[in-house]
Amino acid sequence: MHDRTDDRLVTDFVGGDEGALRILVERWERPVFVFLVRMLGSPEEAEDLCQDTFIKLMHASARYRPEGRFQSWLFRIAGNQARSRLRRRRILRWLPMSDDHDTTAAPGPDALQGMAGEESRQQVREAIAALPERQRQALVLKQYHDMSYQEIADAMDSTVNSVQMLLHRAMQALRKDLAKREAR
Amino acid sequence: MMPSERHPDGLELQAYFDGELDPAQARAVQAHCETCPECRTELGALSEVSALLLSTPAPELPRPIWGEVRPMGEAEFRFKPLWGAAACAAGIALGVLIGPTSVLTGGDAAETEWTQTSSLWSGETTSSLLGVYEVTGE
Repeated sequence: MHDRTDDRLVTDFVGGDEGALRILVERWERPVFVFLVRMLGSPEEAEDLCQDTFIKLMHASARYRPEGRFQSWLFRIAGNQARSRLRRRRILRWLPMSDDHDTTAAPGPDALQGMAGEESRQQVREAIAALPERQRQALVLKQYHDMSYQEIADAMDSTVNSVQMLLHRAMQALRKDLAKREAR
Repeated sequence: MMPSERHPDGLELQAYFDGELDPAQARAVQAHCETCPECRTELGALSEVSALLLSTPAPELPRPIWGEVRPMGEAEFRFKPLWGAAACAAGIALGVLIGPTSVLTGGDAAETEWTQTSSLWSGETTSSLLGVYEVTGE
């Protein structure tokens, strides 16, 4: 569609090229929206925050350093939006923040056999929603956006080792959760 | 113990599954898994979970975002007062009297002063009793 890189588009936008911003928005609006839906579970909220993400990008663009890390920078903005919204939900509902880890053994792969269809997809969505936020964020970025550990670390302002741990815990938690749901 | 006999721990298996190990490490884990049913089972479980995750379809964006975020020559603003109704009323009165120009910041918040016209490119941020606005494309 357009041959300018993301970094070039940001630079051009900062220089006054509104069309460059439009290309960026049209290129990235769907991945950002998909990410936010998977983080929040609500397409309506995701649409709102998707707009907010690009508005924030617009205002922060003068500070962006074009070093080939646009995706991580964009998803950092989106991730911060999502986590702010999730924090607000918790405050409103008086729910405790949870970073608990279940240390019991994970079920084997056969426990997940037979999951198919819309019901199973709903169970997957619920299981993802049940993950602690940082595990969910790392998992979504890895599984659905195919970002590397380093890119995820940049997006989450974290380290590769932390990302690795988050993903490991997320996958283990999902295995157990999905096996329990399948067993019901 | 030969490298292929060493069980990789959960983190290493996860990294192998994610394609994050360097080639030498990846070969060692692969060689081990070829002869270790326990580690193959773990990898199988990771593969199953990953497949289930990917089976949930990506949601569709209901409408393009561009119309909601584009900077506009003559902008319409949605007012979000910071300091309450009294400040809003004072701000509106001041805006009518003084006729400030609108600016957009490159900082974290969108702070503008109300006006009939605006320019995205007019640089500086000014905090203002007039309140805080978000630029929309409405």
